[in-house]
Amino acid sequence: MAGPIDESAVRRAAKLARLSLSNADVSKFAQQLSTVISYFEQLRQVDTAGAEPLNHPIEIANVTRPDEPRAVHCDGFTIDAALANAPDLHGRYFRVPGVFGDSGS
Amino acid sequence: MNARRVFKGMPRIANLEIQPIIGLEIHVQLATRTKMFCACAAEFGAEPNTRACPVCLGLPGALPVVNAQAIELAIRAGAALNCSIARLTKWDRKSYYYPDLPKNYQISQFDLPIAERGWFEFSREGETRRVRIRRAHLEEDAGKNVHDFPGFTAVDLNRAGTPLLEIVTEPDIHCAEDAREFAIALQREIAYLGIGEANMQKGQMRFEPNINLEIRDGEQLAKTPIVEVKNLNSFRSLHGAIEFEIRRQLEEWQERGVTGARGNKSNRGWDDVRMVTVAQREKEEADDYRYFPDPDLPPVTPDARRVAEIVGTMPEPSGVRTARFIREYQIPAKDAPALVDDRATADLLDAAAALGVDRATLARQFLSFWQMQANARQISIAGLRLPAGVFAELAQMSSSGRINATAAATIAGELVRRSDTAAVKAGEPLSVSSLAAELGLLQTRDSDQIAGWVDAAFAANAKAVQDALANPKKLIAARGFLAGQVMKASGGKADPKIAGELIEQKLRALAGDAARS
Ligand SMILES: [Zn+2]
Repeated sequence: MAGPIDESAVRRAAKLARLSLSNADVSKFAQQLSTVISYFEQLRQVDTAGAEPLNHPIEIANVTRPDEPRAVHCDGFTIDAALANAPDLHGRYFRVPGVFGDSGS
Repeated sequence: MNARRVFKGMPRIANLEIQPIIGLEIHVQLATRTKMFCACAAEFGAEPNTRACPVCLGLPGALPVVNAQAIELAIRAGAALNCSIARLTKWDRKSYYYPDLPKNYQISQFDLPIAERGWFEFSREGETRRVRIRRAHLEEDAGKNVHDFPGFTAVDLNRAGTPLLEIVTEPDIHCAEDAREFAIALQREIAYLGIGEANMQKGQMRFEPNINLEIRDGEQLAKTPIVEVKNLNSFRSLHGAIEFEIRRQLEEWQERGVTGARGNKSNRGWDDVRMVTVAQREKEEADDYRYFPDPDLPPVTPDARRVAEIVGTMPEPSGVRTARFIREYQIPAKDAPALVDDRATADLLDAAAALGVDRATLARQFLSFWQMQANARQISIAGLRLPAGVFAELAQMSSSGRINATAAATIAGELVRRSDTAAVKAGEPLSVSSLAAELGLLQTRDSDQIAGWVDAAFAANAKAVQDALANPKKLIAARGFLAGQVMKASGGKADPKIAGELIEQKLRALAGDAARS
């Protein structure tokens, strides 16, 4: 039986997430994700009138830092080591397959 | 259609009313020292990938932490845009894949932006126009893809994570000129308030107009599909892109009758050389950003007292101040930016004026020799670090005739020079009048003393006086010559008005004598 997540929805999600799935995967995940989504159907039955929306799983807020530059803020990390671990470099640039146009934001 | 076609004026089409509908999205880089979510320096021109840390690189387990100053600046911007500041604002992930975005999502704000529902005014042709602001939210910038190489793209993440404020207007703009004037006024205000440097050349402010047309043909109303022009980084390109789109959309509608429906919004780029917009290849499913709350970042609840303080201490907007300066200080409009754009200097001018001096004299002195003194040191007038009282006293002495214009400029130079001395730095006050006296630049209004100089000038130039009395045509020139002689004899100290009166009296008396004899 087709659940709330059908195979085309799984294919679309996989494409967005850059995952390549076999046909067998697609049908398996369609079933599994449908089951997961059905739990939310259950949750939806709870009366939440008057409840504050939960914006973050932990009830803390205002974790900020002062606007002061620090070169090293992670033990053992150096940008040069990170560059050395990159699959491909061009000078100090990360080198990736050619793309055209800037994405902007 | 020919994209190079140059359009001149709106095409006139019988019975059609064409109303362009324009909204703007504006990205402003905030003036912070560090990035939005990590302590890497937010600076440009550095070697590639030298300002990047695990947060910038999107390494697993790296924890972003909000820059408190970015919140402060965003609240200031919200106040300037007359927005409501959120009591709770949160962070969301906007997912897309691109090499300049190593996490594969951008941290942004989706449903609870830091500021919303405001307005911003600009003036055009002496008329104030208001554009409503829908929202302003914080986000991080992406890195930079460099496409200068054959066959591959190079990625520099120095810019990744730079704090941006995205301001979204309501579609209240109806022509390219208004969009440009709005953008100019907003850019000026952002820089004025220190929210961002807003340097267009450095890409610190970018515009993305959403444009479509409402075409009314009698009872029928058609709407063209909305086009968003991406990443415009000059006022000229903003204006040009809107002008072009208005005509392009009208032509497309006339030729193909395409009208807007949900979902057929498209993105176009701007070709700054050909001055045309060009269709962008749509990123597949590009608009499916799958926003969801970022679990790494707890929400922010701006302190109500701090928000009230920021809102309560907002300075007069630069546009309003410009109009007031032109009116109150009687300065030409073209000179106003020199006095307004540096806020400390504008504050200094107002502070000096508040001490009760002639405003026009004060502003003239700011625009002339004070500006020159500042320029010589490559600082602003406020940067001269002289107290407001000094500016006021010098203007007062000038407008009351105790010193002349040349003397005022000389005294200003000397004041700046002395302000650097140890005694002044130790707190010894600078007195303009005692400096004027010390330099021998005070004008005298003592009529007896000036009469002495006048008598001497007449005695030394008896022949010229005789000629002038005999020939009225020479009288005007003689008056000026005698006044010059008096100023020379007095070393510039004689009050020119009193000297002139005394010369006139004496000439009249001599003419009377001559007539009687
Ligand atoms: Zn960083």
